[in-house]
This record gives sequence, C-alpha cells and structure tokens, in this order.
Amino acid sequence: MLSEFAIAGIYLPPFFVYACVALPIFLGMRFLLARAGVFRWVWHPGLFEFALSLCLVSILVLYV
Amino acid sequence: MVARFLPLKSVVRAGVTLIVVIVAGVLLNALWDAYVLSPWTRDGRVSAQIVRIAPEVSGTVLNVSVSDNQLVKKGDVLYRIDPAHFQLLLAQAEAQLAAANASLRQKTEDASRRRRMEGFVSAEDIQRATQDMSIAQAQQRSAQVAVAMAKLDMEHTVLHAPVDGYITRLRLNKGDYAVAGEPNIALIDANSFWITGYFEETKLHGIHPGAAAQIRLMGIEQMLPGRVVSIGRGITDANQQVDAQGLPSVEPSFSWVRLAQRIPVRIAFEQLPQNLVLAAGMTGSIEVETSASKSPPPGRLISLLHQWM
Repeated sequence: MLSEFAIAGIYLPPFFVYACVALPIFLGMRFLLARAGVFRWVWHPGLFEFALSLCLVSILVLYV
Repeated sequence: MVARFLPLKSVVRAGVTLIVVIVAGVLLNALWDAYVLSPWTRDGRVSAQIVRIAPEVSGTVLNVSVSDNQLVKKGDVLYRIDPAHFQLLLAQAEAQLAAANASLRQKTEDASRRRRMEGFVSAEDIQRATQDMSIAQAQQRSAQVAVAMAKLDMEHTVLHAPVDGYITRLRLNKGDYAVAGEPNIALIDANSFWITGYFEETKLHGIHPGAAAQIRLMGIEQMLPGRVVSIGRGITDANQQVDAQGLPSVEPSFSWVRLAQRIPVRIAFEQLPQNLVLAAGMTGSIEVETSASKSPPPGRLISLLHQWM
C-alpha cells in the first residue's frame, strides 16, 4: 500500500519517492536512446522526452 | 536538408512522438484514478475513548493510588477523598433516623392507645393520632433515605476505574481539592483504540462499512489489518456560524482553487501485535480495499524502502 515516507523527519508523499526513483532510470534510458540514434526518428525531442518521463513515472506508480 | 525531401521520414518522426504522447496521456489518466481518486489517505489518526473521571462528592484528596500513564484494571482504586466529613454526616443521619424511629414508636403507641379508648376520647382525637403516626412513618422513611445517601457519599469518597485503561496526564496530588462533577483524571479505555481516516470527499464513493482496510502507522513497518466501521455524517461548515446580529458569516472564496473537504471514516483494528504501543493521536496511512476498478496503487516500492530504512 502507499504510505507516508519519512526521511530525517520530513514526510514525503509516495509520489515524490517514485519520481526520485524514476529520474535515474529516465536519464539512463535517454542516454541509451541517444546512443541508439532514436532521437533522429522523433519530431520534437523535448516533447518526446517529457512524454517518455511521464510514461515511466506512471508505470512505476501503477505497477511497482 | 535531406529530411525535407523525405516525407515518409517526417511522418514516422511525427507518428513516433505522437504515439508516445498519447500513451503518456492514457497512463496519466490511469495514474490519476489510482493515486487521486482511489480510497487511500495519508491522514489517519489513532483515536480512543477517554473517560473523564469526576468525583461525585467534593473534598480534599487523601491519597492518589495511581501513577501517570499506569495501566489500571476495571475496579482498581484511583484516589480517595477525605471521608471525615462524610462520616460525620452519616453519624448525623443515623442520629436523625434514631429520632425518627423513636418518634414513630411513640406515635404508634399513642394511636393504638386512643383507639382502645374509643368511647372516652373524641373521634377527631383518634383521627389526629392516626395521622400523626402516618407522618412519623414518612419521616422515618425520609431518615432512612438520608442514611442511605450518607452511606453512598461515603462510598463515593473512593474512586474506582470504570474500565481497563491508561491514566493520562495525571495532575492530581494529595491535598488537592476535588470538586464534585469536575473531571480531574482522564482514563484512556485500553480496549477502545480505533483509527480515523480523513478521506477527501472525492474518495468516499469507494468506501463502504465492512470493507477491509490496511493501516501503516508512522514508524511501524508492519501493516495492520483493519475494517471500515462507519463513515462520519457531519463536519463543521464554517459558513454556518452566525455573528452577533444573527447573520451567517459567509466566507468569500476563490472560484478557481477548491480544496476537497475531508470526512472522518472510523476504522477498527482487526488485530494488534502484542508489543505494539498505541497512543491516541498517532498518525498513519490507510488504504481501503474497494471492489471498484479504481483500486489504489500497489506501493511495493514504498514497502521495500520501509523495510530497508
């Protein structure tokens, strides 16, 4: 179940914890995608990256 | 420069991006349902029934037999009020009863004597003697009640715990003056702990009495099973308060930003670990199981982190 998460007395919403976990995963993914040359096949890289990060966070919260 | 002359590549580029954007939109919608609309809350508070113990008689406290935060059993002595005054009152009531008894005996003899001398005394005299006897009977009954009340007051100088529970914030000492009807000891009923979940009104539709719930108290890894008992049917509406002239003080509010009100939901603990220290006022997160499609996220990552840290 979702619950409060405390670090050094600061109570963080679970979403924040998921976002923190998603960030390094996203950076790694972006690095790999860039090396594979995927960004040559996208229209607006900024929009693509933003949508990709949202997908990642949503999947993490919904299924992990 | 090359891309401009390859429309197929442009279509693929736009298509890939749009597909990812659409997938993100669908997932965000699911996230919203699970995270925002499903019945879970971080705003849970442990509550307990508190017995405010007040003496039935006033007097100086003779001795306090309990200490702060002590667990007491039902019937244990909490404190004693100096009984000297009430002993005197009892003696007085007993003396009045003795007088009433003697008076009744005398009136009864008078009445029977007059009845035996029916030809010699007037009927009025006999009637008056009989009535005097009835009055003496009533006075005797009144004196008996006064003795019983004095005895009851004597018993009330010793205060007992009405339930098993914990003494809280004990600020009563030998020599304090205890005033009848004024609570001076708070006793937390040891068997009455429950948790109140303050759920946003938007989440209430998924909550039904009898539904299973999971509780994680702050600082306790273990999840505790619970069950929804009931849903609170009223919270304060600040706009209903009236001013000195009897007019409602309606607050102006922003049209854009609205906060969902929180409704208290009472959740009983199904079973509690033996060594768990529960205190009223503790906070925790609560998740209510729901049959609706909008079930809360699993939160396995949070559980894992709780175990690690």
